[in-house]
Amino acid sequence: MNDDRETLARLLGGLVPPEPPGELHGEVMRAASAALAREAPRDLWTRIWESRSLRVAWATGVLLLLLANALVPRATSPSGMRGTAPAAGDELDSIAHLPRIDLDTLPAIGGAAPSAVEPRPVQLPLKTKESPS
Amino acid sequence: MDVVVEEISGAPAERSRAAGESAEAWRAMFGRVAAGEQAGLEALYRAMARRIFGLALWRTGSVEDARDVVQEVFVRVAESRDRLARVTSPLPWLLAMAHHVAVDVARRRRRPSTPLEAVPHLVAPEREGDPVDAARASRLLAALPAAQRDAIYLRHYEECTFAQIGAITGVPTFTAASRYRLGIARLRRLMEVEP
Repeated sequence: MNDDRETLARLLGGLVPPEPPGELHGEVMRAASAALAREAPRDLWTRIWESRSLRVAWATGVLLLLLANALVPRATSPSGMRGTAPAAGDELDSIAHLPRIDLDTLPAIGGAAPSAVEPRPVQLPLKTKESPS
Repeated sequence: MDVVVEEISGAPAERSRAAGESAEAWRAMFGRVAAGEQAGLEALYRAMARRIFGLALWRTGSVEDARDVVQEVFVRVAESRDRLARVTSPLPWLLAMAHHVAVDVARRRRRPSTPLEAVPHLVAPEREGDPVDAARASRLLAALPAAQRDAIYLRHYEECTFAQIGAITGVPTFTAASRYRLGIARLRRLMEVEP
């Protein structure tokens, strides 16, 4: 730490940051005074709270959402696919229940499908020497 | 090094102008600005303009940008006068605002900036310092990353603790201390190369 101070003392000793330009004072005071004279900007919640019409609109909106949440029937579809059109539901059902092509084969997951049945040994027809007769 | 460790571990700082510098006076000044007094703004300008200008100059490397920063900070202070009464540490609060504005201004800079070596980071007071030393110091400081310059400025000229530097620049205390030490080490190497 002493080394740090020594380094800074050697480099920065007797030196100071520069003064701001003289004309800056007037510019800053004009801008800041104008900002001081303006009404302080209010945030959204303050504006809502202070305006009667916005307060009523906000309360009405919240009330409508609550009513809609309470009154809209929920148990219209037993399948859990509420909001899906019936036609689309039928189509999805048909895709989800594709008929199996080969009932003896298990579905393949990440590799070659194992066969559900033991492979049958291939029976090659035995060639029998026909005796020339 | 021990002082750094003590500060990072939460021990009282050996010195801190930013925290202790007549907090009552600062709060009184803020109170006058909050009340809409023009004289309060004047007093705040006299107290802070040079410090904000210096910090902004070291950060942005441009006199024009530093002017913009000073103006923007005072406009923001005036606009947020309703909140001034709740500011517990006025000076670090102002320096943090100045730092953030300086970072924003430097980021959206349009004008071509002058070479950093030519920026007068420091000047020699009349009959006290040597202008040649000031030019050399400015040149060496220009070789540092802006974050390290910030840390050195806040530590050396504002006498902030590392915790305050971290709060002002938005980094952990350890990072602030690390930036300061790396900056000093680099300055030392540069001084050896350019004695």
